Amino acid sequence: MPVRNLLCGMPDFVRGSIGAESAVHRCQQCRTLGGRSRLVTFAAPSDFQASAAAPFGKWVFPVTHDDSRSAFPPAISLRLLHATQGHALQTWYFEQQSLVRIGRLDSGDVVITDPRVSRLHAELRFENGAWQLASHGRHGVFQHDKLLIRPTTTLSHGAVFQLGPGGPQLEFLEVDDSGGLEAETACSTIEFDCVDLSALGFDKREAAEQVQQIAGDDNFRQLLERAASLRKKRQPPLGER
Amino acid sequence: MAKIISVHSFRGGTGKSNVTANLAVIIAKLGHRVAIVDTDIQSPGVHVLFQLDPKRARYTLNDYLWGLARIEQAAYDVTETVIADPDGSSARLFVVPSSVDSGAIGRILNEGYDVGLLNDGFQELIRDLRLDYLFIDTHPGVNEETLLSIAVSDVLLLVMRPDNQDFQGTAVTAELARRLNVKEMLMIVNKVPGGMDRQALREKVTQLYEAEVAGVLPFNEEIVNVASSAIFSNRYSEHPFTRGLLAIADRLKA
Repeated sequence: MPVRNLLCGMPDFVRGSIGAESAVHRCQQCRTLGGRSRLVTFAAPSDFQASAAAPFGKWVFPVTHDDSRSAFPPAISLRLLHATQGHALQTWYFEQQSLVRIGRLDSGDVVITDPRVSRLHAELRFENGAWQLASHGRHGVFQHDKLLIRPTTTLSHGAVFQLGPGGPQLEFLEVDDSGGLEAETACSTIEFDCVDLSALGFDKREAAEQVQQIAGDDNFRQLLERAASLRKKRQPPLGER
Repeated sequence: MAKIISVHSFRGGTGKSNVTANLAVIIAKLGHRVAIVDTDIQSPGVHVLFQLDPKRARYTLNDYLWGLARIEQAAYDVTETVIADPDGSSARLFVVPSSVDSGAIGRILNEGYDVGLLNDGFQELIRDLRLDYLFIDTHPGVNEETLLSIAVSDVLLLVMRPDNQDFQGTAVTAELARRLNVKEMLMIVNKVPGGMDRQALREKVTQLYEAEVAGVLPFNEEIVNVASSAIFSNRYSEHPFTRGLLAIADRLKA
C-alpha cells in the first residue's frame, strides 16, 4: 500500500505498531532512502494518520532530512571481497543515499566485524558529482597496498579499497538505478565464520539430576513454604490504596 | 499493582546489572516510578552505573538488614543523574545500593541475612516510594536468598550468554524457578558475538528452555567502554543493544 507524507525525522511510529507490510522507507521531500537498519513496516495511509498522533516519540527516525539536496546521488553497491578468491562475501546496495558509513559500529551502513576495522573506519560521500572516500580509521585505508593520505579520494566504478593493512577489501560499483538490485548477504563477518549454533546446548539428564539434588530434599520443601508465606505479604494493588 | 522483577543469572559476568540498570532507566523514562535493589551483597555493582558512591552513602541495604536504618533511608533518588529534564514528568528512579565495605560484605557472608526482612523491605519501598516497578538485582548462582527473591517476584528475567556453561546452569535455574511457581519467566541472551545468527539463537533458546525469549542482545566494544560508568541506552539510543532493551521494556510493561 502506498504511503504518503512520510518525512525524515518523523517518529518511526510504524515499527511494532501495525506490521502489515514491509517496504523501505523513503523521505517524500529529499528522497532519502532508509538504510539497512532503517527498514520500517508500513501502514495504510489511514492507519498512518491515526498512528501519527500516538506517542511513539521514542523511535526517532535516524535519517536527517536535508532540504539542500537537489541532485540525487547515483545508486552504488559495495562488495566485501573474499581475501584470496575475490568473490563477494556480502553486498550492500545504496540508492539515493549520499553518505555511507563503513565500520564496526552496528549503527553504520556497512558493518564489518573485524579487529582491523575501526568503529567508523571510512565514509563515502557524494560531493560535487562524485563519490569521495574519506578515511577515519586508526589503521587507514589502502588502495593497491598504498595508504591513502589525502583527505578524500575520488572513487570510480570498480575501485577496490582495503580497511587497514591486510584488512577486508571492498569493491565500489556504480549501479543502474532502475535495476532494483537486491542486496545479497552471506555472513556479516569475514574474520569470524558464522558461529555454528548446533554446538550450543545442555545435557538434559545432567540438568534434571542437579535439579533433583536441590529440589528433592526437605530444605527445598521448607523453602517453598517460606516462599508462599512471603508472597502473602505482597502490597495491595495500586488502585486500592 | 507494582511489578517486582528479579534479574538473575546462573554465573557472573552475564551483564545482569547492566541490563537491570538500563531496563530500569528505560521504564522510568516512560513516566514510571522505579527502584532497583542491589541484593548482590557479596559483589555489589549496580551503583557504579548511576555514579553512586556507596562509601559516601550514609545508609546501604546492609544497614537496613542489620536494623540500623529504614530501607527508604538507603534509597537514593538518581533520577537527575540519568534522566535529562525529568521536570514535569512522573518519572522517578531510586537505587538501594549494597555496601562495598569489605567488613560489611564479610559480615553478611558470615551471618547471612533475614530474607523475610528483605521481603518486608521490598514491600515498604513499593508502598512508601509509590513504586510502579521494583527491580531486584540478584546474586548469581543458586542460593536460598536468591531463590526466595525469585519466588516473591512477578517476573523473573534470566540473563545468559550463548555458551554451554551458561546453557547448562541456566537450565537448572529455570527448572528450579518453575518449581518455585514463579509467575512469569523470560530469558535474555546477552553478549551475543557478531557472526552468530540472533534469530536462530532466539528460536533455539525458546525451544530448549520452553520459555519466552524477551531479548537477544549483541556484544560489542561500545558496551564494554560505556557499561561500567554510565547508562548505555542513554548514550546510544539507536544501538541494537538499546533497541533490544526497549523491546524487553515493552514486554515487561505488558
